[in-house]
Amino acid sequence: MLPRSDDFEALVERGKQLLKKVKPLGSGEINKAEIKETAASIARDWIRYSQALRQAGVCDATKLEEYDKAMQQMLGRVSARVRASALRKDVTILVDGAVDDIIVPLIKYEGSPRQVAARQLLSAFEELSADETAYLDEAARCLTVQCHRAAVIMLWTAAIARFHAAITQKGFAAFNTAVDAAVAKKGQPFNRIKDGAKISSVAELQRSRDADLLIIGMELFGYDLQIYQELDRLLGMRNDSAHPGMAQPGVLDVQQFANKVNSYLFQIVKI
Amino acid sequence: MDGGDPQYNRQRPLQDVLIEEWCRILLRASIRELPVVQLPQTKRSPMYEQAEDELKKILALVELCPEPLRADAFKILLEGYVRASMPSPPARTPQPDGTKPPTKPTEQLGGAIPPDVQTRLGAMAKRRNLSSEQLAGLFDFTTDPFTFAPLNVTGENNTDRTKNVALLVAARSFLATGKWVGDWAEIKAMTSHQNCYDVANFAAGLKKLKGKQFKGVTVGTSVELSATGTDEAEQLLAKLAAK
Repeated sequence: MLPRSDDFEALVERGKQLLKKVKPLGSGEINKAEIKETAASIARDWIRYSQALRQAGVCDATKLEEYDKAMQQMLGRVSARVRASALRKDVTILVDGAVDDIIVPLIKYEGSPRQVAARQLLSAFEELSADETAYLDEAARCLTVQCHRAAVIMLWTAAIARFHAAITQKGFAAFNTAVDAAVAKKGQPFNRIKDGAKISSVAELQRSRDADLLIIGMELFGYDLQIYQELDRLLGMRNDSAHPGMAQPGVLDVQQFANKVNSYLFQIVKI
Repeated sequence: MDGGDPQYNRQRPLQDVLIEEWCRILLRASIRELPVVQLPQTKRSPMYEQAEDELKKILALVELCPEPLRADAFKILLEGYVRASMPSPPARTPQPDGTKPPTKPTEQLGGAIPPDVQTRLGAMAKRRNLSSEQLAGLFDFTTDPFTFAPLNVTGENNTDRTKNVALLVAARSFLATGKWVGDWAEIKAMTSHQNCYDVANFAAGLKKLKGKQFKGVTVGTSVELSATGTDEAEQLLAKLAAK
């Protein structure tokens, strides 16, 4: 996970506090274990953050290497006898340069409209399972790289994950009773449901068509025809996104899709 | 029932089918090409003036066709006539230097601004006695999602400028999503861009405004504007747009 600019700011602040403690020692040896531990902790945190930062490609890699080198050096120094002047030199590299080289690019990255849109998308949802969170995170990542169709598909996957979990929780007997109730009803959309929609295992549930689940959901979860029609339209947009065509969903379309999935499904089908 | 159903057509006289087809084609033409039906009442459309003669010709041609094909032939011929009668869009005159003719400002805006954003933008512009173009000029709609166009946020000091940045970020969020909520990181990025980011006082400065311009301040997440805040944000946008 990418560290936040706040984390780096706190790290630089810790570096400044360390410098204040080391400065009065001049070039003498550091005997206090507390100072050494603080220095080691700063170096270790830097190295951990730096790896995540490099993977994200947010900052200049050569600059990152310079800081990595200084922090590795500092970590090595504090494991043995060390002069205050040597430690000061390493910490000063971090304190003097990290704001411009690392923190400012990270702030810009975090505050870019695409990242904001991704966070807004995630903020719409509450009380998620681990599966749903993973799918929604992937949707948000798709949004940051302008893969809007993929984002819609991942959002729908999260929605169906909720549906499957809720059906499993209610039990297959309840689901099959809902199928019977749907089959007994006449007219659209109930006449699309056949007896074969009944299931007795998770595998069969996974093989069920999303369109059928939405209809049976009216019986099982108690939502009405209007909610069903909204969900059916969302499924239509998901299908459009998954097939070749001229549709070009934008960021706002994805955000609206997410809001509707949340309102019409996550808020109604609870687990 | 759908008129295209062959069984349905077989049970009805050909004349009825032709009349129905005629009405449907004319209706479709009226919906697609408003000028055909929006002519002044004193002036009849040339399409309708000549329709009687043209229809006679079409029916004569249809008579020549074998019985099962007559309905389709009528439809094809009538559609051809209607299409030929439509006013064609005016051809754009090429510029002397070969470049594309300039588009109207509203065309440019309408083409790029998402419909929901345009609605909110228009309403806000109206509230502040501005034109939509003036307000839209503060944003760059060529990117998705849209961003701020280059602008200079002023204020008495860094804290005041940070407050103004937060108001603007929340206003952009409102135009995009309908919520007066400013993303924390976006505010931070914009204050950094505006050279008013004060790492030591950034969070404290925003928290101080809770209960005034901000209804809620969640450090590291977002700020939500109060009624005072939304009003100030709109005023600020109007001030920048009027410049």
